[in-house]
Formats: sequence, C-alpha cells, structure tokens
Amino acid sequence: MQLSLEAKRRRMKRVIKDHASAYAFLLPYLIIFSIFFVFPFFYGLVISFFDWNLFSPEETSFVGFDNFRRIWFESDGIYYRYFWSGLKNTLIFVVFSVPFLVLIPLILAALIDNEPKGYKVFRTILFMPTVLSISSVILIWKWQFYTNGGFINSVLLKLGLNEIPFLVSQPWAWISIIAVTIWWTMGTNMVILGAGLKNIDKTLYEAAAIDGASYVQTFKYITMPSLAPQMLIVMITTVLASFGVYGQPDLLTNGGPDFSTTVLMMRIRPLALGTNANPGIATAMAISMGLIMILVSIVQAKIIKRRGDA
Amino acid sequence: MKKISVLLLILTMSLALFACRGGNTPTPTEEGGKMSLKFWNSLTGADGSVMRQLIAQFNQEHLDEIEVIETFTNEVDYYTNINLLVPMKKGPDVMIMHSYLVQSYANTGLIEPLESYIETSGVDIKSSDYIEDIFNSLYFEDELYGVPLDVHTVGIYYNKDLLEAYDLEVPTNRSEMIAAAKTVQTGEKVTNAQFWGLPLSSAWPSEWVFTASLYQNNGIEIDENGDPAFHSPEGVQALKAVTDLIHVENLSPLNLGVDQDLFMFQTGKALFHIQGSWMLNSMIESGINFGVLPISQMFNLSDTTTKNQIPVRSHTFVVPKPSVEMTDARQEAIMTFVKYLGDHSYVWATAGQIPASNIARATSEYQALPYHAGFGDLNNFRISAQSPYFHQAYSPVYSRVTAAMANKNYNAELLLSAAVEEALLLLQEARS
Amino acid sequence: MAIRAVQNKRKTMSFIVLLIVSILWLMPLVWGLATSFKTPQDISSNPTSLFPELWTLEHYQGLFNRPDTPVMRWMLNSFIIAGSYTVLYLIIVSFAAYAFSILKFKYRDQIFWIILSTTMIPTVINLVPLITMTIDFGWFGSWLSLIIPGLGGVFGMFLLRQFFLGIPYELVESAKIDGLNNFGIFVKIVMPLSKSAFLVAALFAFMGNWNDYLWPLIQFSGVDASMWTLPVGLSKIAGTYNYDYGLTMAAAILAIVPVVIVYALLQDKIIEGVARTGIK
Repeated sequence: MQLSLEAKRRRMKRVIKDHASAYAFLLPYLIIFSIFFVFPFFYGLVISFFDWNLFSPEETSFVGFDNFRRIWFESDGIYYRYFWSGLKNTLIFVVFSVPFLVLIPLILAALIDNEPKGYKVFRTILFMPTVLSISSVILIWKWQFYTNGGFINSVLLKLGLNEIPFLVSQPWAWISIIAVTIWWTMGTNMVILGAGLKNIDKTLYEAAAIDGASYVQTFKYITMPSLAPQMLIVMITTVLASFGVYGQPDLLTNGGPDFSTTVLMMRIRPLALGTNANPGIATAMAISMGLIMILVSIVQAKIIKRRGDA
Repeated sequence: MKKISVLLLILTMSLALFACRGGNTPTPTEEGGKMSLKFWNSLTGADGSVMRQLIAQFNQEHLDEIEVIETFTNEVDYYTNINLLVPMKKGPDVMIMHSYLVQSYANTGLIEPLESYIETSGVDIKSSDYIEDIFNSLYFEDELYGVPLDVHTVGIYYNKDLLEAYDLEVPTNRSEMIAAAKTVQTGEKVTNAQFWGLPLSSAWPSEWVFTASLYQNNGIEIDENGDPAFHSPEGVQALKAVTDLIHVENLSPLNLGVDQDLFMFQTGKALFHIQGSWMLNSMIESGINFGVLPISQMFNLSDTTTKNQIPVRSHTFVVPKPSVEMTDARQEAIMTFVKYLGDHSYVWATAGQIPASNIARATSEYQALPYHAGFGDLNNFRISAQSPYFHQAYSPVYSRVTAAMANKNYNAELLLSAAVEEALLLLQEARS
Repeated sequence: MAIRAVQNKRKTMSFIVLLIVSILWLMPLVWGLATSFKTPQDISSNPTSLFPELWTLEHYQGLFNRPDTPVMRWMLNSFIIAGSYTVLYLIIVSFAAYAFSILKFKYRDQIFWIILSTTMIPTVINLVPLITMTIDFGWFGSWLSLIIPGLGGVFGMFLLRQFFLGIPYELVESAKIDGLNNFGIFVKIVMPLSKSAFLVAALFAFMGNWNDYLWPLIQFSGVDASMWTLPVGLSKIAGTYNYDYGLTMAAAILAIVPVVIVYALLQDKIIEGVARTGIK
C-alpha cells in the first residue's frame, strides 16, 4: 500500500514522539545510573590496569593486564592462590545454595497460595528473618552450632547421637553456612514468587481441575510457565547474591576450617579496603568475578527463556 | 489517582528537603580562639563509655580553648575508614591506633612523625614519663610516630572460691597451675560433668596465648630482617605448650568457640580462664569471686630466661596526614590533648586497661584499683616485634594455632611451615 | 463438589507443612528475642536455652538511657532516609521499567541487559570513586549521599520490568486505540495492574536502604551521633571484645521492629492486590 506523504509524515512524527516519550521515561534513571554506577564501573576498570597505591597516589603505575595475569596465571603467587581458592569456594557455595534458595521458597509460596488457615501469619513468620542484619543473624545462629552447649548438639546428645562440630569441620561448615543463608534470605524469593503466583488467573486452575489434571500436572503446565518472568528474576538475583556471599562464611566459620570456606569476596574486600590494600588486584578480581557472573546469567536467561516458550 | 500522585510528590519534596539539611559536619575551626579537634578511635561498648567520660572531662577543663569531637567506630570497620578517608583529606586531627600497626602506617606515610609537634607545642611529653619499651617501640626510621595511651594484655582469671575449697595456693608456674586445674577438675566433675579446669577457646584469644607461649619458650615472631621466625624448635615447643593443655592434660574440651570458655568461667564451670585485661569489668559484673594472676611462667616447657615474659599491645595516639592546615595552634591543641589523656589515664584504667603513662600509674586513684597488679610486673611486659610488615609476617600463624588446638593429631611442622609460606608470599608482595 | 474436596485437602496439607516449617523458622528468632530479655548471668550460664529464667528490661533500658547513643533518634533518621529513598526510587525506577518493558524502541532489551551486567561487578570496588564524588559534590556526610546514589539500583527496576512484561499487550493496544499516550497508559493501565509489584519493590527498596551499613558508616565518620542511621549507631554500642550479648540482641530486635511493622501492614496489600489479568 502506498502511503501518502501526509501519512508518512504522520507516521514519522509518531515514531519520534514514541522515542521521545521513551527517553523521557528513561532519562531520570539513566542519568543517576550513569553518574553513580557507570562512572564508578569505568573507574574500577581503569584501576584494574594499574598498580594502584591507595595511600600514596603518586606511586601508582600503569601495569596493563598484569593484575589479571597474576590472578589468573601466576601460579606461585599469593594472589593467584587467593583468587582461585576463593573462586572455588564461592562456586561450591553457589552450586549448593541456589537450588535450595529457589526451590524452598517456590514450594512454600505455592503452599501459601492455597490459602490455608492462617496463611498470612505463616507468610510473615517465614519472611521475618530477611529483615535482620547479617550481624544479628550470626549472633542468633553461631551459639546454636557450638559443641559443648550449643542447642543443636544438645538435641543430638539427647537423641543419643554424637556431637557434631558444625563450624570447624567439613562438610558441616558448608552445611551450616547454607542452612543459615536459607533461613535468612529465602523470604525475598518467597515474596516475589508469591506475588507472581497471585497474578495467575485462577480460572485456569479450575479449567485444569475440570479436565482432571493432578496437582503436579497443574503446577508443571500452568503455574510454572506463568511464573517464568518471576522465576527469571529469582534465579538470576539469587545466583548473583550467592556469588557475592561474604558475611556468613566470614563471621560463622571465619573462612575455616583451613580456609575451606574462604570465599572470593573475603579475599577481595581486604585487598580493596584493608591495611595491605592492593586496589588494582582487588578490582581485577572483582571484574573477573563479574565476567563469570555475567556469563552464568546469560546462560541462565537462555535456559529459562527456552523453558518459558515451551 | 492524580490526588495521590500529587500528595506523593509533595511528601517526597519535603522529605528530600529535610534530608538535605542533615549532616552538619563539624569542621574544625578556630573561631574566637577555640580550637576544635576531631578525634577518632575504635573504643566502643562499655569501656568506650569511659573514654567518652574522659573526653567530656577534658572539654570541661578546657572550655574556652579546645573542644574535642570524638567519633568512634567498631574495630572491624575502623581501619577501613582510616584507609579510605585519610588519603582523601577527610580524616581526623588525632586518632588511636593499635601499636602493632604503627610501623606499617608510618611506612606508608599515612601518619606523621611527632617530635616536631611536641617541640612546636611546647607540651611536656617525654619518653621517661612512659613505659620505656612501649615508647621506644613507636619509633620508625628513628622518628617517633606515636604516644602510648595504655597497654593491655592477657592474664589468668581464677576462681577464688574454688581454690579455697580445695585448699590450693595461687599457682606461680605451669606445673602448679596444671596440678591445681587437675585437682579441681577431678573433684568438680563428680557432680558437674560440664566443669573444666582450664577451658580454652581455639578461636580467641588464642593468638595472645600462642604469643605468650612463644615468648616464654624463648621464641621470636620475626627476625631482624622482618621475616617470620616462629617456625623454629622454640615455635614448635610454644605450640605444644598451648595445645597440650587441651590434648594431653585434658583440661579443656575441644572446639570451644569464642566466649564459650568465658561463659564457663563466669558461671563457675571453670577454675582458670585466660582472657584480656579489657574484660575486667565483665568479670566483676558476673559476680564470681575471682582474682587475676599473671601469665608469666605458665607456658615455658623448660627453664628459659624469658619465662616471665608477658605479651602486651598498646592503644597509641597517632596523628594522621592532616586534612586541614596544621597550624602551630592546632599542633599545640593536639599535644595538650594527648598529654592530658595520658596523665589522666587512671580514669581510662577503670575500663580494664593499664596506663602507659608513669604519671597516671603513680596516682592514688590508680593504685587503689584492686585487680590491675594481677596482670603482672611491668618489667615483664614485652611488646610485639617492630616491623612495617609485622602483620604480614606474623598473623598467618593465628589460623594454624586454631587448627592445632582443634585437632589432637596436628602436625606442627606442617602447620607452621604453611604459615611461613603464606607469610613469605605476603611479604614479597608488600615489599615490592 | 469434588473440586472443593480436593481444594480442602490441599489446604489441610499446606497448613500442616507450613506449621512445621514456621515453627522451625521461628525458633531462632524466639531465641534472639528471649535473649534480649535475659540477665547477663542467665545468658552466660545457659546460652542456648530458649526462655529466660528471669525477665529483665535492662538491655532495652540500656539502649535508651545512654546519652551518647540516641537510639530513638537513629530510628527516626533511618525512617526518613529510607522513606524518602523509597518514594523517589519507585518513581524513577517504575518509569524506567515501563520503558524497558512496554515501550518499544531500538536496542531496548540490549540496553537493559547491559545495565544489568554492569551491576554484577561487586560494589565494594565502587567505594573509592563514590566517596570522591560525594566529596566533590559537597554531599559528604549528609543524608543526600545515602539517598541519591542508590536511586540507580537495578533490583527494583528488574523486578518491576518482569511484572510489567506479564501484562497482556492487548490491554496496552486497546488503550492506544482509545487515544491514551504513553503516560496515560502507564498511569491508567500498568500501575493499577501492578500494585503488588510496586509494593514488593517498595518493601525491598526500603529494607535495602534501612539495612545499609558500610556506606553510611563511611559517610558518618566525622558527623555528630544525632545524625546517624540505626545500623551504624547500633554497631557502635557493642564493645569489640566484651561482647554484651543481651544488649546486642536487644539492639538487633529494635532494628528490625519498624521494618517488620511496615511489612506486616503492607503484606495484605502486597499479595492481595488487584491481581487479575483480563479487562475488568
């Protein structure tokens, strides 16, 4: 169909107006984001190419990719050791914590969605730990894990079992850290998934019930696909948060036993801020970790998109 | 809908305006001749309150001349603040630093040498007024970088009632201590299975305990080059002396976490407890009838010349690289403050610290304090070896001490050499 | 009918499981709460017992009575700061989320994912440039530093975008036909359908800002105590070595009470919100 000049002009006006409108909506956020996130990001990128002296800036020197080379490849260096052991421990935590941190809230949110008696109370209780600060969480939990008087071991003793030194031996150290993390953080995902569940049209469920679908079938073919947008954000943010884990291994097990729970953030932090700071190395580690996280997120997003389309 | 958005907008605007108001950073000024000083420290909690008292007292007595504005941060984050803000000229005028970090900060240039300050100010601060060894340890490359406020150490708190009940004397050396602990432990365990003679947490203050043992077994932390020197026969002995109490003498259960041993002592479930002088008030509040005995001669496995030595650390006054113009008047104010606090540190002593100032310790107020003498003879105090890279060279041993205390079948050689290896890598990095 | 029976059975099963889980979840919190009412002797003699032998208010009194630690003031400060932040954040971020989900423009999704990616770098390394910036802008030590920089946070934007994406595009199209412009669509179609999402985003924004610790700590390093936020202030109450468990626990409870109240009030609206698709 041939558009008249008038129509073409009108269409272009609308396109421009649409774009202008889009930018108007985006602008406030983009401005603030650029100033306070993008700029520091590039700043950090730049630092990673320098041997940056925090205390005597005049002694800073350009080293190109040397910081990255050291943490990735210099196998007899201390930073290599810190980076790879830290990364390994972080990955262990991510792999073992994320499934629980997604499935448990999903199940609980689904149960709450059935609206049994008192579900509002249950929801509040399950969410409450999320509100605590990390130091409060550790204060509450650390004593429970101790031998010689800790609550959990007292129960074990009463049951006739041996005490377990939760915080000083493996695999119990990891189990303790993950258990505390679940208790503390699963509320966030539970709320997000719960909101997503509430948005699902109940008539769909009724139709499925009339067709004779079981609970599991309904869940698999109706609930989960409808929940895809929320699942995406839950999966990605949980993985990202797990990568950045810091407080629990630091305060609960002090990175032990034998540095086996010393995660990457526990290496980055002191290098960025501590008395023996090496900001160039710290940013190189942080950027490396970020790149890995981006990779993981892309893969995740692709998988979820594919599932959602199915 | 429109009404709500308008309301929200107004609310936001007013909140934001209110928010802008916040944060009047008191800028040190010299208006009307009154000097305003910013003072930072990491003294929080109950003993922190004593410091607040002392500062209020100072401000009161210097009403029209000097005002000290104090900011305190908990220790974990304190050095983060310093490291980030002093280079950005947002630091304080004077601050407190732990003695074992003074050399390191002097080396990086973040703190100032003080002799010129003392001279310019004309304030009477001289080494003979302070514990000599402590004062001398604050020199780096022949310049003085700090003035000590206090020394603190660990001692052995003991349960007086229990010692009396078992008709025992206060132990003066290791074998007496072990014997006493065993006697009471055997006796008490009949009725109370959870009683222990000398419970030891593997986490804290294990670094102090190991250092005491190292000294008393004639070991040293670092050599004259600043390299780790604790992996020696003396070091192995030192480790053994600590871990034997748990694994051989069976005076403590395994895997005690932080403060588990403290609580046991405070509820009468332990005879001895090794703990810092800073916990003194906590002990008093617990209601236990306790005494303090020095840690001397408790860890030497043979008769050494150093068996009496007691490790100490010091809270030290330092002056960071200035964030504002360092006029003569400001230098005088800072030094006046430092001297005053030193002379009056018998007030600070009530928080459980031992004044570094000889003047303060000579006061009747200090002499009247009942427990402080129990931490030992000043002549036996030994401060950590001085090197700008002390932390890198020595601290890797701490986690290995914990590992040894937690594991009956530990391999001393393996652990100590692992610590040395890590230390050397850190040193290599730091020195480059 | 059969459906009703099935639904009832599900409700009962859900109830039982939720009850058990909730009790497990609650126990550590109960312990924390109880500890804040225990005497120091009680705490040290049986540190993990669930209930106090003797109930005492001394820790809470300690918090409120110390002149150098104005706890109520800190709570108020945190409230104002987190509140202002949340309101501003919701406005800015919902606009952006709308643009990234409903509006169409070139490279829309790519820009979104790039924005998301930049936030994957751990923010601890951003501290130095951010501090420098707040000093240069003249905000160092003021509440502006605690409100403005965080407005670029991605989580809320991501969250709202995901919810907006779930809105059927037919609704948007029919609104366009009705002659609404983008702003009209946002206000009349998107917002009402996303009440729950907004409230969730508000809750997390509020909580995130309330609990923020390291950044305010650095900002407040030279500032009078009456200006601090609650987490910063409370961190200075506990001694480094002589850990006062009762006091610290009381402080922790105090710190979470306002947020729990906000949550309890909102939670009805959060999930109960208008959550129907379709044109009603």
